[in-house]
Amino acid sequence: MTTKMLLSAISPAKADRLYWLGRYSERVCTVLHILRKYYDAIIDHEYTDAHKEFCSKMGIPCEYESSREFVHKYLYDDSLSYSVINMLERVKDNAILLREELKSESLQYVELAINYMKEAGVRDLKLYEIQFVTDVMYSFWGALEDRIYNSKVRALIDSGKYIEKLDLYIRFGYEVERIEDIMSRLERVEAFESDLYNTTDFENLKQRINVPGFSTIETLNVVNALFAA
Amino acid sequence: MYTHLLKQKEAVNKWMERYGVRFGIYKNGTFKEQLFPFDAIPRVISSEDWKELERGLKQRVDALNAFLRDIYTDKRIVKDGIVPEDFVYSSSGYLPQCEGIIPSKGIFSHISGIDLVQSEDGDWYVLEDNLRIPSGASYPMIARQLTRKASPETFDGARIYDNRDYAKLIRGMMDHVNIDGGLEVILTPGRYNSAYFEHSYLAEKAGVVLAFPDDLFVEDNKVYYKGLFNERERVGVIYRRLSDEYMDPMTFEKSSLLGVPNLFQAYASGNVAIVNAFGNGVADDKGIYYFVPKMVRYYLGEEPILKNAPTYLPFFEEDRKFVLENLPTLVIKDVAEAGGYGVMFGRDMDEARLAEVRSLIQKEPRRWIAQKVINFIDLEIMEGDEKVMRKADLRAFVVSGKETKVWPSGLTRFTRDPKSFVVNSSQGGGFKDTWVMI
Amino acid sequence: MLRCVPYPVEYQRVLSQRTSVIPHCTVVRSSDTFGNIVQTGYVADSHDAFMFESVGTIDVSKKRMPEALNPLFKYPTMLTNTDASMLNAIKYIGAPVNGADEWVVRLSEYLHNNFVYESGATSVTTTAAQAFALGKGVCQDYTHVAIAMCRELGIPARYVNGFMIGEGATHAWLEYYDGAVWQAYDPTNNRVVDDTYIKIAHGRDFDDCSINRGRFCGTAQQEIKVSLMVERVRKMSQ
Repeated sequence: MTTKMLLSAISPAKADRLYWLGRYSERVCTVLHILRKYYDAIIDHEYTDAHKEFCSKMGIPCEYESSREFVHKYLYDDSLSYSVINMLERVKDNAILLREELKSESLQYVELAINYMKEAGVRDLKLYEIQFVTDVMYSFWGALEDRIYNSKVRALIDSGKYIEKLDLYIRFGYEVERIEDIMSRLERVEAFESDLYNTTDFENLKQRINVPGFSTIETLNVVNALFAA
Repeated sequence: MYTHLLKQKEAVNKWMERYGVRFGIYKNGTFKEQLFPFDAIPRVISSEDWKELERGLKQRVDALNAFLRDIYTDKRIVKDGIVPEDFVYSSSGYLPQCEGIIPSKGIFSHISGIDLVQSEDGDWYVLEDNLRIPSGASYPMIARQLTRKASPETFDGARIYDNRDYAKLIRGMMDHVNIDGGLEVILTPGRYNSAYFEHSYLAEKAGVVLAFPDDLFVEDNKVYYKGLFNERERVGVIYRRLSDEYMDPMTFEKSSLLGVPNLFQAYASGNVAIVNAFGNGVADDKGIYYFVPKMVRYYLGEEPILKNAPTYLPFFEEDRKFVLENLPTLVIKDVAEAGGYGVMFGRDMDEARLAEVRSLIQKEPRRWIAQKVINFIDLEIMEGDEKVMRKADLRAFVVSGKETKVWPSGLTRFTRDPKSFVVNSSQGGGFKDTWVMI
Repeated sequence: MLRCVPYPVEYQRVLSQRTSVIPHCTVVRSSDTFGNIVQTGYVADSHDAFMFESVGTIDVSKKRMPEALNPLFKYPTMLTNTDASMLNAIKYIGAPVNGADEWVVRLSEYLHNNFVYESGATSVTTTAAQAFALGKGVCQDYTHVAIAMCRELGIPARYVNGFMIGEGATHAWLEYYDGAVWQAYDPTNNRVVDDTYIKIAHGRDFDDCSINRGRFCGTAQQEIKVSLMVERVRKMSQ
């Protein structure tokens, strides 16, 4: 493997934070998107076990009476480590340590999203009523794209973003073309050829997703081992 | 002049929340971040008043820097009998490790926070000098940014000095003391620090790297920033937001997990500039405060422009007698405490408590100072929709780089409790913007 | 950070000395504020042990030269504060009548009779007052108690660590200022320090003189092994 000194003046701890900032930010957006699809399914088919399927795919415990109870807790319950509010808190945990790279103008969107979600939890807003959080998170992505002028910093955040997308797309059995598209985006990330990425596993993953029934724990393990700061 | 701004106060608070203008406190052992209450009514300082204050602050900080240099080298001021030896060697801020070390460009206190109050007759009194890690400048900076956003009408054509250049001042100073053109970093202990917002905001605005202790290491008496592939970048200046004792477990507090091992040796070898220098605590000790006007005369040959609050040192027999006799009219401060802790008002004490404090003073006279309570002016603040008067102080920031510059603004803190005289953010107060008129 | 090279002073002439460390790293030699020689280094790679060895020969004489006093050594530190029972002991020993030398001998005699050598009773963070209350301790505690009492009486005193002839571990004793010269005394062995002692470092108290200090990242079961040997190569004629 080639060691490229691409990322001078980014410490390992900082790289790790950038990566996880990317992952959690993406998780909020994609999970809300997928959750909305499940919600949509309930309307037509009275498919009341939708939440059980969702939980099993996400690999989280499912001890809820109803889809409704699940959605409320999954969105707002800060005692559940995997809830959306906690994903946002993790975004903030990482973002706040990176202020000088992300800029305060970007950070404000994370604050807005969290403040809004807290308020929404109290008022028990329904999933279709919190489109604002998605809007604000896309604003956050836009601000990052716009305001970060160190391309290596952007590359690390993008790595987190694409790996999170891969993880979720594989969990929920997206079409191979969609997954391949994300993989090729990951391949174009600036630091991709450096030691940070496990390129052997990347090739392995390309093979795996072309075999039916690829949506397995093993495949997810490969995805999650692609990057190591 | 700020009527429109007051109408916009809700909007300003919304922006403050959005920008996460917070400070952290520990309550019952857990860390919480709170919004720092902002009062939209600014403290306004006229151009004339400011000129005088500016001269006084420059003079005071120049004298304090001269004192620090003297203490860690020749100690002329001790030999000449101005400052008793005891006040140097038994000060917890005196670090013998710093003996003989002249920091980069000879500057010890690069960023000085001088706490002042204005008396009813308009004179400024210094309450305290902060020469270690004075915090708070970021709050008026961001307040100005956000009030201008929420109420541009207020600032249109108003001759108010734009205080958002503070980061530039800091950056200029860091460039000046930087060694070998190395990387410039702000060293933060991490987000669980009361002033974390400030650390990260200043790093952003000054355009320097925000570093955590583990990001740095020392080899061959030089400091490096650790890169991802074991590559390294030489560090030339560290604006540290960590106190001396936690900076280097090899030289100071050995149980500290925060510091950078061997950092002190790198500093002593002249290979890195530390902002503010190590050992400054010897000059902002509450006991040494008494001697600052004497320092101005001694080092600069000038009459001090700023006044000290009338202070008595029980260490001197004559003062001790006065303090013991007049305790109910005085405020007693523990020299070792900061942040509004260890402050006791004689008038609030009953007989038993007075006797107790008297015996404390007799037992350890060096540990206490006593001051006359100054009747300083109250400032207006908004309590709901009502204007009320509250105690407030001003922390002025003086930046010493190529020249000594006073930042034309400052942090005005007020107490929300009408009975309280202690103005400190760690005691639940709020802040105001400080407008210096051009 | 290592302090393992003899203190550079005219009565200790180092003939040869080398320090080696494993794993290998850049070791830089400088001195601290007290003039002690310190060696510092940084090992970036992961390792499961760190070793250092300091070997050399030294020529020690008894003659000590006058020095200016650093007033710092007049003032107590956290480890060398006195308490009421120590003040009582000072009263019992009595005031110095014939200068510092005579008083330090009496102090040492007092400790010899009233303080018991026992390892394990105290730790590196034990203060003079705590050790005195226990009535037992090791050389570090003897020295802290003696320093605290000297300073209380206005006799400047400092902590010294180093080696004694023979095998075993490092030793500690005190130096006190007699008005011109820093004299050395070993309260643990109740004897004057002669040319069978090698001084490594001095400071206000133990914390200024650590032979080694370090920090590692990661988790580990820690174990420390120390061995020390001082042998007389040749007696110098005087």
